[in-house]
Amino acid sequence: MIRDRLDSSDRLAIVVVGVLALVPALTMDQYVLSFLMLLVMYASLAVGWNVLGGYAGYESFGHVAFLGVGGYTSVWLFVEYGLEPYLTAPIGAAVAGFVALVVGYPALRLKGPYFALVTLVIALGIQALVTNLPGLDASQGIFLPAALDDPAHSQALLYLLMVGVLGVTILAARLVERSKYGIGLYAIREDEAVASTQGIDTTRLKVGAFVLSAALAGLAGGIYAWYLGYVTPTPMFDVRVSILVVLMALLGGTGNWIGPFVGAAALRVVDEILVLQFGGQVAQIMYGLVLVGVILYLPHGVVPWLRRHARSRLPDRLGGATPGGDR
Amino acid sequence: MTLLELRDIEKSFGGLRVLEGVSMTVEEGSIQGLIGPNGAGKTTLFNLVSGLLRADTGTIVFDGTDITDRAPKHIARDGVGRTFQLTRPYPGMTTQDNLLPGLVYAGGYDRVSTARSRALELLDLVDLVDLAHEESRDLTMSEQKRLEIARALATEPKLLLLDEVFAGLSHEDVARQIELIEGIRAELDVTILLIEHVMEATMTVCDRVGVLANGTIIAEDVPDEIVHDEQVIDVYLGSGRGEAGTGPDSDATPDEDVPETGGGLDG
Repeated sequence: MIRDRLDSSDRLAIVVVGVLALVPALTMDQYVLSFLMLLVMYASLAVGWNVLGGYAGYESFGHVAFLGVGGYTSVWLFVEYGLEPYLTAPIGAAVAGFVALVVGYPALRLKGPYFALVTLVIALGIQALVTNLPGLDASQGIFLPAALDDPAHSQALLYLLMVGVLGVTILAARLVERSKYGIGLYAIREDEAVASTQGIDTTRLKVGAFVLSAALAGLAGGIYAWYLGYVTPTPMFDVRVSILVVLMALLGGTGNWIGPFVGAAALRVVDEILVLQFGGQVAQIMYGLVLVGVILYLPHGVVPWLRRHARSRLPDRLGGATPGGDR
Repeated sequence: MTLLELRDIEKSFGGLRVLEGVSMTVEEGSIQGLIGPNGAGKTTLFNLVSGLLRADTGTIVFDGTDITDRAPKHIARDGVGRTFQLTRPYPGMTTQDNLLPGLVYAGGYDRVSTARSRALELLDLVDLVDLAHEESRDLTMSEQKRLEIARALATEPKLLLLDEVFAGLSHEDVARQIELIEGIRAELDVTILLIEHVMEATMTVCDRVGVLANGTIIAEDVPDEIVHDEQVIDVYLGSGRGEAGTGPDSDATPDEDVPETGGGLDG
């Protein structure tokens, strides 16, 4: 029975994606939708980033590159061939995955801060390459004015597609968490040399996680570009997006998909409240203080902390069956 | 039958020649010991056999296959499991989860659920089953050493390499570890090569013992002969051998000219 195979983590995922998908039926308020659109996109990015950054412990600071590759691919396919977002986003994901495959082999030979730096630089390189590709003429961005008037590309519909991206991303993360593959990635995170003496093909697993993680970002980028109606180097290649995604995952906790999702949602909400209450500049400073506080006092993330404190009353409600647990 | 054979292995790190032509064999079903002073190259030898390092020259044959240039992952799947001298459990994982990578990637347990139950069996063997759900970083040194053994066994090895699994343990724990190692050979049909400083334990548990010094094997024999071997006494035991409790006859001639090895047989 399918019911027996779903644990609490799966059920939580279904509830989360279901509730987010119901929102347009309840309200068409522009503010609510645009707020949730960003929340869902960041959640997808953070959960996808975590497949490599959390499970395997390779923390990339260049994740936005794959959002950008997916976004630019998606828009370009419409401009050139008139393809719809249902097609352009998956193709964007494939292209992002391919790029990750090419840069992954050399980059994943490095670890820790060296890997972080190299991914940061690679992202800048990919941005320079994409925005200067001959024939693409994309240095000033590409716009989709005509496409946006079509009701088939309404904001609500694109929001629903982004919720679909989140669903796919969580599904992928869950499949990794529950499988042999996840066990291998956790072992790499904990001690790569030991993992290699236990029969694990560390290179293949790491590159695979990088490709999956990048493809998921490309998928999100493919939809996000349509939602914006244009692609420009900001936000599609904005380094701040890369950094935010890392912070979201670390804030929530990287052991399973729930942490990055909670981290992304929490940061989006906090950011929004601070901006509304105090205006942009002050909000930035307070936002920074919140982050410093969390990193100092909850180094393993919010979700593991909550779970530990709730354990006496709630027996292991949130995805406790994860092989690697939370860091 | 010979399970592992090393032929003329040489290994240098920069200008430092660690192994200068090591040849040895390990017979299937035996417990073979390898002793030697600190820095003799014992762990280097393990790193070569498990594939973490490559030999400069020489050949390593395991179970009829030349594994000299094979990658660690393949050697693990071929049937060589190892522990690490400084225990290296996967720290953020539970004791049970520590065994899963080896089980699914080298032990032939493709299904995670069957790997989980096999992990409990192995933990039972090393007497850690009560701690299955503890994070491995919270285990005591003695428990971590046993977890290392269980994790190496998770790869379902034909040859188990034990790197100083007695070091730093109390007398009671050493006795328990000896019992465990003998139990492993009896129950799991595993050949064992162990490198060690603790003489008493090595001499008790091993069928044969090799002595590595100055980059070569200077002696290889049954424990009783090894502790009486003049050459071994010269380079390794020194005049401090009585204190280490190796139990050599008091008639064994103590040579006044033998340089003091610091009595560091246990360290």
